[in-house]
Amino acid sequence: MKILLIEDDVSLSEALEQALKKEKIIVDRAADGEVGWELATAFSYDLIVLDILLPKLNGIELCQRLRAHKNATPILLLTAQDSHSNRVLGLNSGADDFLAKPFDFEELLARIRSLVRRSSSDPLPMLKWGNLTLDRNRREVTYHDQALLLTPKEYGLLELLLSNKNRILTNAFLADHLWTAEATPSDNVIRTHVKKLRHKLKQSGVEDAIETVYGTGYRLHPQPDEAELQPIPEPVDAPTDAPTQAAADLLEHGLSRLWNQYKQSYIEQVMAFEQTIHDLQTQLDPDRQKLYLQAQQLIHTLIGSVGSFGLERAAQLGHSIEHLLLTLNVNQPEPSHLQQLSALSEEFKLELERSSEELQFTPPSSIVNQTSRSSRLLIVEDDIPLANQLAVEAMLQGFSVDIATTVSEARAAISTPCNSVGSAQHCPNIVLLDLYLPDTPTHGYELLAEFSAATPPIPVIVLTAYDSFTNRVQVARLGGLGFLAKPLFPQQVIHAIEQVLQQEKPVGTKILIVDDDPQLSDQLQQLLASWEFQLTIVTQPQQLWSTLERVNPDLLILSTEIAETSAIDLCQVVRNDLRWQQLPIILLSNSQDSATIQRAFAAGVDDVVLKPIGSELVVRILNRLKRTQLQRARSPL
Amino acid sequence: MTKRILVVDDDDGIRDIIQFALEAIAGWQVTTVNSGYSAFDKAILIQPDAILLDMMMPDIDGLTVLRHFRDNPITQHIPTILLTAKAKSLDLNRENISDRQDIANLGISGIILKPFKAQTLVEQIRALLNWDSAEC
Repeated sequence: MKILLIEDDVSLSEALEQALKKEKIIVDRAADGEVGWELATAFSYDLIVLDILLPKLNGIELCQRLRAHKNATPILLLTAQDSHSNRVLGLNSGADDFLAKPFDFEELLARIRSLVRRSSSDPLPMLKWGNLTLDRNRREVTYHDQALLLTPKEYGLLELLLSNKNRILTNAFLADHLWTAEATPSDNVIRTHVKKLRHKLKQSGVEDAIETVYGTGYRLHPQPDEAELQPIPEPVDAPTDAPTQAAADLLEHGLSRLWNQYKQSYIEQVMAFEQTIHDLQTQLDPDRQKLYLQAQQLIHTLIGSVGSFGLERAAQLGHSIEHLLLTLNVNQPEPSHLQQLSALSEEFKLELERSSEELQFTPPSSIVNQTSRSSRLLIVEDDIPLANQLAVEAMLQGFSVDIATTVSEARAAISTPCNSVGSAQHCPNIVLLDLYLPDTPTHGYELLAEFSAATPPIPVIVLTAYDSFTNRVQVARLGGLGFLAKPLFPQQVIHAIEQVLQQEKPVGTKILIVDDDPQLSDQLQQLLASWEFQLTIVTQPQQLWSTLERVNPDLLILSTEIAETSAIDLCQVVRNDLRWQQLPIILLSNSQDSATIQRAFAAGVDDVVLKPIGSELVVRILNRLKRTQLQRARSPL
Repeated sequence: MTKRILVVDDDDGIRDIIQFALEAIAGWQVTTVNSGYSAFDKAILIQPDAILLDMMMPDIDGLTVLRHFRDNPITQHIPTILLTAKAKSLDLNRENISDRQDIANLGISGIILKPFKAQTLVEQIRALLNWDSAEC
């Protein structure tokens, strides 16, 4: 990488040059705008670092002039004043980035790298050729994860070759990109550097990477296996919500490299934990309490760390250890309990040791699912401090949280993101609603009704200071799944929400639907989509019998458009079979006629829901399932 | 503009994972520090667009650092995301409650629980800060 540094403060520019050289970056320096202009037009650079206040021609003017001459080299402006107008002026004149003095050197480097990467035709932080990897961020070259020690010139050469595959690089091109303006090399010098690079590559086991094209220059040999060696495109500019396969590959590579780097230190932490457990057996009481807390902290941190590396099995083991530790009686630890802890931590350590090369990563498709599965909570609460406390508590339990303090904000939170395609993960899975909102005469009831009527319906738990039977009934009628009366600690509120979510997600519950109206079937599927039921839909009543036996459902929904009586008859038939006497049956009915409804109940229907169907049906289904569960729990049959 | 992120965590591995993930996936500029003390100086120096702050550090804890951030006019408005492990559910001791009230009052942009998934970290941060993925 070659940079032109235009800066009149000699001490600063010297210091920068030194530091950049350490990063294997080649630097040309100019102390005023005119010299800078000459160099910039005569040579090609990967980046120009440009001070604003310069003699002869200031940075802004130089920037404008370069852009007017169609010079597209990325420009990073440096200035002493970090004022907004300066920034705007600089960026308007065509600069790509802006850094105020005094700056942090690391930050300058990061920006330089990022600018060069962005503008490069091959914007990859990782360049690969077989098992040879060049990491531009770390400026490291590895072959089979073994580091190669290269000089800055050798590194630069390899980087140019790797980023210009299939292209012959002439001596002039190499000289232009790798040497400063004063030190234009002879062909011999270039040849020597190429030779040294070849030698180092060969020493590390890389055969035949660089080809000499006689009379022209150098080129990277075609790769042994093209398919495996496709460059990993960096998805910086791809505004996708889901991580792409390429990004996942890149991360996987990075994570396993990092893991190998840190593995040993985590193993040592496990050993420290083992020692603490061992000491718990021998120490006296006051120390024991301290050791116990120490052990808790150690394992807690370890889980966070190894889990973040993607070592899920190890993290699971860590959780078991943590759980076991929490149930330990500190004052009188049972020897067997401690032994169990030691055994588990030994297993934990072995798991980490085993993990070296074969990190188990979750494929990107399932990652996306997992993110969307983390529950999103919408808090509708006008008491802002309370809302914030609830939010913190919910986030500590792993919820994503949105807060709405007014009815309109609450509506916006469910309408905008939920209706746009592909942003289902921004929709709340559950709403905590304070009924008494200042900006509505109907209080939260209207909102509650709207949430329940949404497709799919959004479960709502009500939080209110006004606890009365009438309120409770009204909330239940409108489809509210829970009623919490203030005052409660935020912890208690969020705990209640977690419990409702757990209860209300009867994952895998099998529901059989008999329905000959395709439109209604669609509606049912939509309505029940977010509940993870296993739905089976039968469109011909005649198929019911065989399907019943095959599916063995937990609940049956009957709805036939042909005639109400046929559904009731169907129910009768099902009930007549001993095997299906316990099966909960819900009838979807068009008729409010009490005689029909009575006949339905007489035939063995458990519940009747009037069409058109809405979220009420979900509540009834959940209710029915819960009742059945309770009944089963009570009777040993 | 490329976003600048400051990561404060005493766990070397965690710092490196975060830096790697954010740089590789989003191209953000990531600066990391390993202690609460250096966090404060660094934040003033580089004035990042967002801070990821570990709660449990040996020198000074995240809550104290957060308090300092909010007291200083330079760092006051920098969105801060806390890094912490999942809390024990229904843990109602007094210290716990007052800490959480403090966090709520000081104002944070969100919490990322450890262990996190490196693969979705960028998405998670964008969502918490309402950053548009097309822009940064």
